[in-house]
Amino acid sequence: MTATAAIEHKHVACPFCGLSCQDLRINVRDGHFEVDAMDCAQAACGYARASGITNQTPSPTIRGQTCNIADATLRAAEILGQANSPLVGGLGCDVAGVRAAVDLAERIGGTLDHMHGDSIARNVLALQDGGWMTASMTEVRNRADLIVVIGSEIFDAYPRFGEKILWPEKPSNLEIKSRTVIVLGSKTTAAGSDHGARHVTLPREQLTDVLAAICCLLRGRPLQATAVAGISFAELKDIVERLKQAQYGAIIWSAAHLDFPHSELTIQMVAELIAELNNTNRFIGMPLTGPDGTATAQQVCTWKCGFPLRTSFAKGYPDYDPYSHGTLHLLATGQADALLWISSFNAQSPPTTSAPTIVLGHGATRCDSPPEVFIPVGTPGIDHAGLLFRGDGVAALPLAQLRNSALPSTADVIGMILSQLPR
Amino acid sequence: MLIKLAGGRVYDPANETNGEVRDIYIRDGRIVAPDSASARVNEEYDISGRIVMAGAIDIHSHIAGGNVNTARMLLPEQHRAHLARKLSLPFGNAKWSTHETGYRYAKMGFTTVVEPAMLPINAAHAHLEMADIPIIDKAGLAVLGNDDLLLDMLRNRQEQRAINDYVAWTLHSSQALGIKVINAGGASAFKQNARSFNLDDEVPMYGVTSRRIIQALQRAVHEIGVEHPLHVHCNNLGLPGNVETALATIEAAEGLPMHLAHVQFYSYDRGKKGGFASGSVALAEALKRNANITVDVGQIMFGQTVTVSGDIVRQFAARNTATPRKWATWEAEDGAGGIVPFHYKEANFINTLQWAIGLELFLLIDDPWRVFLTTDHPNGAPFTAYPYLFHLLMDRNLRAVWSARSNQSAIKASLLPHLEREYGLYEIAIMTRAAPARLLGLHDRGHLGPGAIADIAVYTDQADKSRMFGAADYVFKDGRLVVRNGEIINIVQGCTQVVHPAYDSSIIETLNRHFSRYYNLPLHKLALSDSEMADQIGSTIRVHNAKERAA
Repeated sequence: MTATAAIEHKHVACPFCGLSCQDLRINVRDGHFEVDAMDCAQAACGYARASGITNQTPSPTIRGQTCNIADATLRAAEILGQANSPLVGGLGCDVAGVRAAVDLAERIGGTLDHMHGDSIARNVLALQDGGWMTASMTEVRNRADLIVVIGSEIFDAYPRFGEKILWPEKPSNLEIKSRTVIVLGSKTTAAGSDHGARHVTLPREQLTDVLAAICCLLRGRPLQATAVAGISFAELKDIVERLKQAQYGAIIWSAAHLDFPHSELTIQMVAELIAELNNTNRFIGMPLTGPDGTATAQQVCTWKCGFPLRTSFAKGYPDYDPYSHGTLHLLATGQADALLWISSFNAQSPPTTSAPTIVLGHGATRCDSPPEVFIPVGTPGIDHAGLLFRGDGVAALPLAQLRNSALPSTADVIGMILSQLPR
Repeated sequence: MLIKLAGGRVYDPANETNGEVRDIYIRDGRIVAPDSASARVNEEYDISGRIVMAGAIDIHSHIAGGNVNTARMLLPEQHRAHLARKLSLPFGNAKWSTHETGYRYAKMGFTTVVEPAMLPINAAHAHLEMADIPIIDKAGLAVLGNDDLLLDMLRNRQEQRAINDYVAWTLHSSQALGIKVINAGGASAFKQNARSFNLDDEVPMYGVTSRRIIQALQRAVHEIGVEHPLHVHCNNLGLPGNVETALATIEAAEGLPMHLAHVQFYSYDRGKKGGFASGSVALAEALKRNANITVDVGQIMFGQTVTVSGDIVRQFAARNTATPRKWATWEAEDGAGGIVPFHYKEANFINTLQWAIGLELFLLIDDPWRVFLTTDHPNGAPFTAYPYLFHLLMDRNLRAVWSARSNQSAIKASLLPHLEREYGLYEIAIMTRAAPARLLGLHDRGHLGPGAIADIAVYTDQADKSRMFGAADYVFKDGRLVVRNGEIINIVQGCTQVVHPAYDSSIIETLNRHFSRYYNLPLHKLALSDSEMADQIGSTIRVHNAKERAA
């Protein structure tokens, strides 16, 4: 076999986390990816996974037996057509994929949720309770003179977070004199130590208490405690002063990492704190949302259904319920009698369930026991072009195709299932 | 295939047809002349006695984009459904969804709708939503005036030619039909903690006034030959005394074409104690003197709605009026937005006055070619209130009924009880068909002459005009029957109307430098190509001609 020359792609959009970096340089050789020096574990992992399935294009299966795609989609259509209350879950795909998934759910009386539905719901519940003031990633990058990061885990989950938002190489046009970064997190990280980031450590579950104390001091109310969550009164007071002095302050959080009960109240506290600060100076929040097309699924579902994710069509009309339409709840209580699981970016296997399961998944997906139907799908931005919302939900950005691929897109496969549903 | 609509009473102001009985012929999606109709008719509709108009055009309705979608997320309780849908109509009861938006417009006989506030950074999103609105044609206006690049160009006193190129490029890259400016410079000033922003206030750091931004954009739109004049959302929206701002903005237009959006919201005079009073007479008179100005009204209707606006200065200031008590704002690279739910109450003095001022404007401005029917959906009311609004304009008794049950102090302070005028069908057809097509430069629609696309609405004339306009008997989109007896029977896909004026490609280097540096985006990822519109967004475009570029 002769070696093929590598094709170099510049300005590649990475689909593997919410930062939506647009500056990757990738060499593609025989469907394999060589990612140019870039300190990002998420991207390295994502492209390696894509390279891994190149040598043998995975096939559709029914109960583990290889079959052709027509038989696989027909079987999927039978299962979904017969189900009383199917769950259309995972939703890790691009705009076209989510559009198709929503059309399918509407047609079969299904319920829509995303694999990161819990973290989506945390943000939406906070929004729906009181609202919030937010800004795009770019605005935070260009404008903020004070940034508070809630959750040290963000630095691991979004490896280029510091480089892209907190400490960008290219200066802003807005004459920011200096930028202070405060990280409120449950562990100390080395992140930003060379930029003078200030780390305040506290147990995650006590975040709400700390934010409440800060709000209290900000409003000039008396605070009896001498320390909250191990943070001294003096330090709290100092943080409040910094918040008050900011010209354009920002608080960034990742709802995925606020995984403790009722953390929507923590987010709500952040929103209230920001609203309060805006009575005198400018301050905004930035909910950084996750990988697997989280923002994409939420946006598309909302405009097509009129309601956010966790909307069900089981009753013949869109029925939004962020509590009882969650994936794990529906499966655990036996209220979903079929599961369509979509994961085209990562090889995320479906949750365990006795309900017949159809997986439209990454070729590298491994399940404990073979699902009723498995159909490998292409990854947007690798196997086919697509559109993906940036993690701040503000911009829908193009993903280009990087290699010739026999894998169909999620939208194509759902289109085939739709056409095979009983009339 | 030849379709004949036989015996209808035709209201087609562009062709000066005022209720005469005419047959209309349709072939291949277009209206054809009667003389080419000696050929065999394949399909005939007997519509004798019924009213025929071109499909209606809405020039200003917030139907898509990030601001609208966040409003949906914020307020699920506002549009809950309870009734299972008809099997033939996917998403038929998914209220406030893109699908339902298309159905509801089509039922009323509307076939083209303009989303007026598309931030370039959010343009792909807005177009995605528009592509998922079935049946009707759509268009977007790209918003400039709070973007750092334009402000920077003005600060550096770049020549108008460069600004023209940037504006023309933006129309291409955002796939837009025109340019809108929202409280010019206000969103940028708000980022730097300004809490109010007037026509001659300067954007901090840039030292550029709102007036300067408006004039530069207005001139650019004019000089690059875009038919739709600059679409202006003035400063000081919603504040007492703001009619002065509107009048000053009209003066600032210096005779060049300019469209003022939802003028009801800045036709407020100052009352004796500094409160609200009607400024409608002053505005109507200014319109008489300035033939270059067009307006749409932004009528409010009583009830619950949500205000969705790019004017973050206004929305932030209004946050404490939110009903229910929740609100949201967001700021992006080239603008901002804010969402404040609101309930207009007939018992309330200001709300009743707002209602009356809108109607006063409709009735005082005597040129239906220059005043357009909007509710600034959903800001004054949802667009579904249009049929009732037609009824109010056409029936002074209905206005009297509502005046009697609204706030009496406001009604006493208003001219409305003294305005006897009633709109006729011909004027309605001007205001919602012929004039919008002319204002937007969409010469292929808004009329029923040969060559026009066959977007046609047929209604039964009846005293209850809200019933008449609420459910058309027939609606044709591009010659295909989509509505029969007020029900959707055929879900077709419309397309997106755009204008692509020429620009000097030497501007590209400046743009590339700016966007790659400050947006972290190479230019080609910000710009929507024609093929991306078709393949990824899911809507084909129809390019309308720009006029010759001024030398």
